[in-house]
Amino acid sequence: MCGLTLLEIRVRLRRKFLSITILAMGIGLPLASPSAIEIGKDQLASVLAAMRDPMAILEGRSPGGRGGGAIQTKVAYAPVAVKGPSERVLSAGRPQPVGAPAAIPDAQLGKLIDDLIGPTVPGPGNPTLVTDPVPPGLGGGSSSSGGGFVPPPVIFGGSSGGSSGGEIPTPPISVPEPGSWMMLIAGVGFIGASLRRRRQRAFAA
Amino acid sequence: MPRADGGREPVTSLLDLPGRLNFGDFVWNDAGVPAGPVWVRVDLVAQTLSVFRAGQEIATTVILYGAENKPTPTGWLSVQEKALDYYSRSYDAPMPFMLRLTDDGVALHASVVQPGRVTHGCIGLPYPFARRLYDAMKPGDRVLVVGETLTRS
Repeated sequence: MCGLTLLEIRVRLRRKFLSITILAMGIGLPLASPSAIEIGKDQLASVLAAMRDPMAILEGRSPGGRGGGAIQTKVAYAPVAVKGPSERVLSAGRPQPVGAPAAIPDAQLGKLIDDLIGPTVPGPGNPTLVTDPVPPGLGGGSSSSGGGFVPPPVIFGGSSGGSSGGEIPTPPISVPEPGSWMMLIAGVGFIGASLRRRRQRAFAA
Repeated sequence: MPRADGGREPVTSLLDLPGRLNFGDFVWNDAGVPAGPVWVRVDLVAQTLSVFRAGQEIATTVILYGAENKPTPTGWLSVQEKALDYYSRSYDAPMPFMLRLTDDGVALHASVVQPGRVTHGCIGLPYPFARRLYDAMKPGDRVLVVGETLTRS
């Protein structure tokens, strides 16, 4: 920008109104005016040359024609076609099922729960579907007395639960691993870099 | 300068530059130039643009223009619309200081003027130059775009 300012100053100082009164650039009739004499004899030759061919002035400031291999500044924005309702859980999408979902037989329900929450230890009261919200250990030794269903431990890094009987479990330690920290920092940095690059390309033609 | 109606646009002076302009450079020097009608001449082959006021050249710069598959239209055009902070939905890109020239969206606007870049038909200008040109022009002002197909006299 500093160079630009210097350029402007130089042009301002050196600007000479040719006063050639070109009615048609290139074919116009050059009429010498008194101010043309003020520019000096040393520049008279260039002025006269410009009067003969004023287009040379315009072409003389050109950075040159555009060569091959020019790059496109941006790509056309193509909106995504809407194809109707679809679930976005899967990457490819799949159609929404029509109607009520089919009922799952009771014989398969137990296996499904086992698959979902892992193997359980059924108590004597209700063999399968007892959901005790009390976490293991808070029930006062319920597991040792066989007082009901003991859910599997869901706290990562916690104790194994019911076998200890009456002991208050320690709160889970949620300190991320160093790898997780690195991934988090790298992700934030990537987002910042993309926003910065996008802002720099904001004035694409 | 040939006009669409057969007449010619009078030009009485040109800026005298010390040398060639680089991409991103511009000159704006209207000192001593009286008020008058403003028009613009765009030379696609030379990749330059000149602004004339009252018959005298007051500004010039290097431009970007359309690619081979998206050529910039040539001939006499006129400013149809001004938008200070236009955002193109077609190209998902901002186009500040937009001076629209055609119905299909070809415009003069600020751009990143660097070597090797092309546009989709618009004429890209350096940002500070585009700001000044936006202030200088009004709807109806004429723009002459000269290419290889139009006579360059």
